[in-house]
Formats: sequence, structure tokens, C-alpha cells
Amino acid sequence: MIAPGADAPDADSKLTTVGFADPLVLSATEIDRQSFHTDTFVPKRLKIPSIDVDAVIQPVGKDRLDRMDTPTDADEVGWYRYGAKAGATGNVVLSGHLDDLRGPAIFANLGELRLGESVTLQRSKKVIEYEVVSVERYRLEDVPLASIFAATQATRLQLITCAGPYDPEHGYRDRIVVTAIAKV
Amino acid sequence: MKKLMSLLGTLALAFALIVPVSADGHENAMVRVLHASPDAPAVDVYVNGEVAVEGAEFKALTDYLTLPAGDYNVEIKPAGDAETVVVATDLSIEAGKFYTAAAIGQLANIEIAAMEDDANFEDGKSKVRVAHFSPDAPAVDVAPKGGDPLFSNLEFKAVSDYGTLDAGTYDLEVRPAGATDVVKALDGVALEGGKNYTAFAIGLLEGEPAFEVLLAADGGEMAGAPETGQGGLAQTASMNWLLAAAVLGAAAAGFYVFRRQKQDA
Repeated sequence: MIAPGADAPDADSKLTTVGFADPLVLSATEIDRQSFHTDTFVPKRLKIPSIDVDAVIQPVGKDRLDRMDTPTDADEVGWYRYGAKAGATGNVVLSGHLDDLRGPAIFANLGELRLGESVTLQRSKKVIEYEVVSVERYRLEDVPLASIFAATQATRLQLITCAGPYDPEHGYRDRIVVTAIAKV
Repeated sequence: MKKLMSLLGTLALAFALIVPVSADGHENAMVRVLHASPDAPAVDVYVNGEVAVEGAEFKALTDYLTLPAGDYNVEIKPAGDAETVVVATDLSIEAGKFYTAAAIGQLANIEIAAMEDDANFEDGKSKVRVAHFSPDAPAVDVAPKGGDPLFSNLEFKAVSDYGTLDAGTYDLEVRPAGATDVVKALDGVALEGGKNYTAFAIGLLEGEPAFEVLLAADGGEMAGAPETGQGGLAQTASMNWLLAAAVLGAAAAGFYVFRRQKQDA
């Protein structure tokens, strides 16, 4: 959990260390042949009981500044269409607003998530549950973009929102990134 | 001598600050690291003197690191031992491109092999390549079970070009180049459409750690971090200032009115 008053590391701080991408070990035994293809789906609903989130998910692409987009409706969550589908190998990336002009939005309490808490993605009867493995806060320029958007052999979910001081010209200074791993 | 030179290079570079990664991700390159040296210890990876990966063991492949395009010195050190450089190399990386740097060979001859990863995807197809990083394995072919090779005569240290396959599940085998006996059978290799892969052959044919093949998805569709706030929460803080300003304004106006009344009196 990141305390509301917590600060991201200084702007001149060091390289963000990266985790591991869990390559698949190929073998002659028939391992998990299904794992790639079965029951991956475009998520329609996000539930995070511990912070009272139950939101509609909209597919999003990139904005004109080549950033991942976020739905206009601040109560909805964006799913990055160039990333992985729910339950698939790779990074499933979701973005949600911290606030709109009036006050808190769908991801206002994202930073309060704790390790081990549950996040589920749904589409009608299909459900996949993820478990939070890290909650990090970065300066915008230090966000580990490749860990979030590039290929990985892990089955991960990345949730992103804003944090830190607000500047009308540049927006929020920081981003909170919550990483969760699919439960088997 | 070569090691000494790279060490000196490292010292010079260690004083150069790492430039912050651009917010929209346009000027970034993406680099990941594979530990494929069978008898090397767990390692830390340093980029321009800063630790970027901690405690990578044999067979570990990292996530892609996000780095501004440019020239870098990459050093591999035993985990937790910042003083000893196992092997180092200089890397030039270009914006928008993906790379894999692999520590390969037995510890006595360890070196870093760098390759560019293909991040251009084709719907319904998988682009696949094979990297031969098993120091004691002969040149090999990789073929569908009983079929003609897809990749031929790859020697240790060789990385094939990408070949394009239809998405699907394949039964493959690794064979000595030109022969039909099987070094390693790989059943049920699932390749997803619109993804590219590298199969890394690592380990030792004779001895431990044993020969095996790792499959990793390559590249990705990068984006900048989303803009996810409009300042409503922050405005409540600045609202207090507005309110204070309004109160001060009202007080000033009141004072003015008060003065006017006094003068009028």
C-alpha cells in the first residue's frame, strides 16, 4: 500500500530495476497445451472488492501523443487493445482516472491496494482472478513502460492511475502502477 | 586487456548521469537480459554503472528495461558483489527498437551476445527464431516432427533469422544438423497469432544444467503512460487558496468601504 502522503522517488533517482519475464520451458511432455488459447477474453468488467471498485471496461488505444488512452467517462476503465487479453500470457493493461474535474474517480484508491489482494476481470460468465504482487509509485518519466507494455511470458495484469502533485499544464506528476499475477 | 579497456570505459561512463526516460516513450529503446551461461553464478546487471537487474540466475530472462536510445555500457557482476565484473560490453540502442542481451558460454569464456528483437507483428502469423546458446551442443536443425528443417545448421552462438509460421500448435524437434536422430523433442509448442518469439536453446548436453529450450515472446506495442487525472482532487487543495483569496478580497473590499464611510462621515 502507498500512503496518500507518500512521495515518488526523486526525479534524478536511479534506474528502475526490472523483474523477470518467466520464459516458457519447452519440453516433450504435453504441458498445458491449452494455456495459450483457452478462455482468454476481452475484459468487460473489473472488480476490486478491497477498494470497492466495480467498473465497466472499454477497449482503448493510444491518444495523439502516443500515450495509452483512458475512457472519457471517469467511472470507466480502459483496456489497452494492443496488450494481452484477460487470462492470456503477457501484460493485460488497464488505466483508470484518479479524478475528474469534480473529485475522485474510479481509481482514486488504487494506491491503497495491498499485496495479495484480489482483482478480477470478467466478461459474462468468463472470470479470471489476479493477485496483487506489487504496488509502486513512479515519477512520470521513470515509469517502467517496457515492463508494462512489452511482451512477457508471465500472465500479468497492470493497473495504472495518476498520483502526486497536480500542475494544470503538465497534469499529475506521478503514476501508480499495480501489478497482479493470474491465480492458477 | 580487452576487459581492462571495457572497465576503463565503464569508469568513464559511470560518471555520466542516466537521462530521464521521455514521458511519451518515443525516444526509448527496450532491452532485456538472458542469463544463459550454464556455470556462472547468479548475477546483477549494471547499466552505465547503475544496477538494473538483481539476482538473475541461469535461465532467467528479464522484462524489457526502458532506456533512452543511446550508447550504454552493460556489466554483469556476481549477485551482490559490485566490485567484480564478470563480463562487460558496450551497446548502441536505437529509439523504438527492442533488444536481447544474453550472457552466453561457460564462465571461463563468458561473453555477451546482443540481438535485435522483431516487434513488427502480423495478424494470424507468428514470427519465430532460434538462438543456439548451448556451449557443448553441435550445430543443430530445428524441424517439425519428422519433417524438413525450419532452421538449419545453427552453431553455438548463432541466432537464426525470424521465420514466419501460421499461428497454431507445433510438435518440433531439435536434431544434429543434417541428421535424423533427435536431441530434444518439443511437443505442443503453442504460437499465438500476432506475436513473435525467440526459442533459446541453453544448458549442456553433457552434464548439468541440462539442455533445454526456452520460448519467449518478443517486442511489444509501446505507449506512453496514460493521462489519468484532471485535477479534481488537487483542485480541492487549490480551492482553499481561492477561498482564502476571496476572503482576503472581501476583507480588502470591506476595508475600502469602511474607509469610504469614514471619509464620508
